[in-house]
Formats: sequence, structure tokens, C-alpha cells
Amino acid sequence: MLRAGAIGAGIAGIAIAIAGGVGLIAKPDAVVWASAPLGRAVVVIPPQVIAMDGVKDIVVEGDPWMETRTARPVDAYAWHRGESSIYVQGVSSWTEVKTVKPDLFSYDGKDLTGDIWRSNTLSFGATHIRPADVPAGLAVVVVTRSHGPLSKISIELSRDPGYGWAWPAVSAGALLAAVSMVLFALLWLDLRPARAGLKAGDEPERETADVVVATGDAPVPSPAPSLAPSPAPSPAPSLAPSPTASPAPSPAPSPTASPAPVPSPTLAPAAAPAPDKPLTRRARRAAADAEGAK
Amino acid sequence: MSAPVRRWALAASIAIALASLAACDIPLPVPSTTPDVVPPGAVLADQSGAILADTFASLAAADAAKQADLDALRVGGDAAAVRSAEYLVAAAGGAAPDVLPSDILAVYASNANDWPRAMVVITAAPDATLTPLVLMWVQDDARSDYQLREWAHMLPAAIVPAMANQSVGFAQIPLDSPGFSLTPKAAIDAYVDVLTKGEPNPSTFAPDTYRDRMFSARAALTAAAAARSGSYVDKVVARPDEAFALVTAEGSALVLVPITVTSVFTVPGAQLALPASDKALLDGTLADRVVHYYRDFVVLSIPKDASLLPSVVAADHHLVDVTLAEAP
Repeated sequence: MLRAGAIGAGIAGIAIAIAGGVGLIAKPDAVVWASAPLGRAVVVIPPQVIAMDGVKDIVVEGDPWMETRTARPVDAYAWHRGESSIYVQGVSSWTEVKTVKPDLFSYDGKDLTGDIWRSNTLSFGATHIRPADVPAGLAVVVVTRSHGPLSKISIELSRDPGYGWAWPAVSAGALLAAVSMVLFALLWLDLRPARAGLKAGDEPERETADVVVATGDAPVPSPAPSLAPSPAPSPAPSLAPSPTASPAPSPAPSPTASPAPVPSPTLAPAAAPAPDKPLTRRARRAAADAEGAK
Repeated sequence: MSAPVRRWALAASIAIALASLAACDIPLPVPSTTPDVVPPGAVLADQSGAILADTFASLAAADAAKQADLDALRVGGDAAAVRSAEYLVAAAGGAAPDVLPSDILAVYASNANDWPRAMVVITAAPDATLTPLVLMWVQDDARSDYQLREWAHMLPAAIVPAMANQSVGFAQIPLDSPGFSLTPKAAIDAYVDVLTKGEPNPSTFAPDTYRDRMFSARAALTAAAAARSGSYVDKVVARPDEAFALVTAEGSALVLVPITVTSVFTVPGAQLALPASDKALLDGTLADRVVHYYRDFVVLSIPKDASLLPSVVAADHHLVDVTLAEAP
């Protein structure tokens, strides 16, 4: 069982850690830029696009001087009819902005101004449109002052890559692997000498017991003589007589009345046959005394 | 490899494969439904402030030049015609042009999604002897600027009904819209009928000084012409295509309608004479007939309750031209 558990924990731990690692490597960027060329003097960005999930910033670049205007959509769409314009419709992939060019190309420059605009800001080189800065429901129209074409639109998108489990998986896998290694270590390490050494320090009570054992001669049905390897399931290591073997500490002297303390060499299951145990010095002396008495 | 090890290895392979596959499935964002415009008004305070500033700058420039610049985008239609006539009359020693105060009491703007759109402004009274003015701007399409098209002084004791806040905007309705004591179109027709035929009995409109003055002048001129076997005729024609009907905050309707009044004074065989101010508008030598053209602006209030009479809130009688004969 211990061995199977160690192997299982090891494989599971490594597998989970590798899966987490793969997740970390494969994890897409949480923020991406989609873009598209424009090539026209007017770009119209509807409020639905500005309100799309994950839109952090919209950047329009091109002819140096440009005006960024906001208006009610119905006003902006009515205004831009006849313009050499391009419409932004969303994103067609994580790297590409979806646009459409209406077939109306009669630009009328004198109509740059108008009373429909709720705001109008002038910028140079590029204009940034952040959804938080645009009142709800308004469309944005970017117009070049020289009527030259705009070059490019980029939309910064944040997204949930869905790899929140990766780091916890790596951690859990590492933990399982560590547990597995501990289990393997327990399998291969022979702790019996160390345990025996520890038990050797429990003298006073055992001294008394040894004396009693040395003088007694009453027959004791069980357990088996302590010098022989015990074929019976090893009870929990104890100086006390086994409750199954001897119902009460017998005052009758018996060279074998008290089973020799059998320190459990390992945490191995009780069913395992007890290996040869090194006898303590006192036990050897008691056995010799008993032999002499015979 | 033992069976348990194989099982664990299989589970590990599946976990790794799933981790790799997960990278391929992040849904693209799609444009959502159109968010509501907040606030919905077509012209907010900043926009109307710019429009008013431009308009009064145009007017100030025209007043300084004593000439209405027809290319000045902010003043057009009847306002430009009336202002031009006022400059001529003033130059001939007649009355000074109307003072249009830039001190604004209220701005009411449309929330319409189509054009033309109206914006109504109430100014302060120009002085202690005059009442506040109602001015109307019109935007013909999305690419046009709002132009000052009409103005009229409020009538004494008249009240402009409560209107929706500018950020919400008022609703523009068709002239045949029901839900009032009269449809706007019926109210216009009825008032033109009153102006043409005189006061009905019982009256169909609340009393107002605009029609009282018109009737008084008509009576005097008719009497003067009749004394010389002549005649005096007023022809009153509304221009519903240029009218606007707005819904007020209390559910009544405010109708702003331009009216053309043509007054023909004829005394056969006579040599008529005109005051200097009118002569300034005349092109030609006066004989026995003179025609005065007026571009009036009338603001009607039509209550929701059918038991109440419609009333006139503001109206002005603006002389714009004097000719020898009626235009065909």
C-alpha cells in the first residue's frame, strides 16, 4: 500500500505539475492589440464597439492633425453620409479590427464643423479613445483636418485567458511529488536500529519486570518464547504483556512468562512476519538466567 | 509498467492534453446592443452655448455694419429678411432694429432623431417697456448649423408652458398629432382664419394683443380707404412647412409658426403717400396702390384639456418689404 501510494502520488504530482506548466506556457496574453488599416479621412466608431467587453483603448493614427468628436449615433451617421469614411464594426480576430467602407466618396470639406457634436478635441499624430471617457451611447468620429487619409486603427483588448488554474496546479503537483518522495524514503530507510535505540532508554519499569521474570516458573501458555521469532501477529510494541496472550501480569515466575519486548522495527503492517529482532542486553541476560535455572 | 502506473500515466496525459487544448478557446468580444444615449437631448448646454455665442456675434457684426450678411450662417430665413428691413428703416429715420438680448432665461432643445430640428430660447426683456422674446433656431440637416430664423416678443401676461430640461429635450411632433384640444395644424388654420375674417363669436382663442392690434390697424386703414372709395385687404397665410410643434412638460403643445401677411391698400386715382420709414423699403414711384409684406412669427399654446382655449404666447408683426403691386 505504501509503495503504491508513493508511486501514485509521484505520478499524479508530476502530471499535475506538468499540466500546470503547459498551461503557463500556453497561456495567451491577457491584453492584446487588434488593428486594421484605414485609408480614409473619416472613421466612425459606433457606441456598440466602444462598449464591447474588454475594450481598453482605441488608437487612431494618421494624418497629423485630427479631430476626435462625439455625437449621438443618429447624428453622427447622418453627418457622415457622403464622407469618404470607414466604419468600425468590431474585431474579426484577436489581431484584426473589422471595418467596412461605404461606397460614398464625395468629401465636402466645408462641413467639418457642425452643431451636432457633443465634444471635439484636436490631437496630433494619434488619438486615444478610452471607453471610460466617452459618455454612454455616443458614437466617435475621427476626422483629419487636411482631409488626408487616416492610416491605422488599433483596439487594445483585455481578456480572460482562462488559465487561473495553472499556478495552483504546479504547486499542487509539486506538493504531491514531495509527498511521494517522503513515502519512498520511508519505504527504503531501515529505521529499526534507531527505534531500538530509543526504546533502550525506557529502563526503570523494565528492570522490575526482568526481576520478576527471572524468578518465576509458572507456565505461561503464550505467547511463544521470546527468543524465538514470533510467528504471531506482532502486537503493538509494549512492555506490557499482550492482553490476548496473557490476561494479566502473572505473578508466577516463568522464564517465558513475559514476552520479550518486541520493538516494532518499522511501521510495517502488523500482518508482516516479525523479523529477527536484536535482543536487548537485559533480555539476553534474563534468557540466560532462565536457561540456567532449568 | 504495472497497471496502476499505467493508469496514473494515462490520467496525466489526459490532463496535459486538456491544458493544451484550453488555449484555443477564448471567445471574441462582439458589439453589444446599442447603449442608450445619456443624456438624450440633441443639443446640450455646451452646444447651445456655442450656438448662441456664434449667433449673437453674427448679429453684433451685422448690427455694426447695418447690413445682414446673408452668408452669415447663424442668421437666416425670416430673421435675416426682417433684420435687413430693420436696418433700412432705421437708416431712413424709422424705428431702431429690435434689440435681441443675449441674456438668456431658458433654452429648450429638441430630442428628435431627424431633421429639421428646432431650438427655442427665451431671452430677458430688452428693457422695462418691453416683454421677453421667444427666439427660434432651426437646423435643416446634420451638416447645417443652427440658424436664428424667427423671433417675437411675448404678449403681455402670456406664459410659456413648462418644457423638458434641455438635456432631455422636447419631442417634436407632426402637425396633425392628436391628443390636444386641437391638432397643431387645426390650431394654425383656425388662428389664420381668425386673423383673416376677424374675431368669431364665441371666440375660439384666448384674447391676445397681437390680433387686437392687427384688427385695429385694419379697421383704421379700411376706413381711410373707404372714405376715398378705396379698399384695404389683409391676406394672411401660414407657412406650416416651416412650423414646429413641440410637446411641453405638462403634455400640451407649443406651436411655432411663421405667417406671411400681405396688406394691399388701394385708392383708385389717388397719389398715396408713405412715411419715410416705409419709403425706405419701397422700390419705385408710389401711385394709387401700395402693398406691405410682413413676416410674422406666432407662438401658439394648445392645451391638452379640450375645455380650455388655445392662446398666443408670443407674436410680432415684422414689415419686410413695400411694393407697388402684389407679387404674383
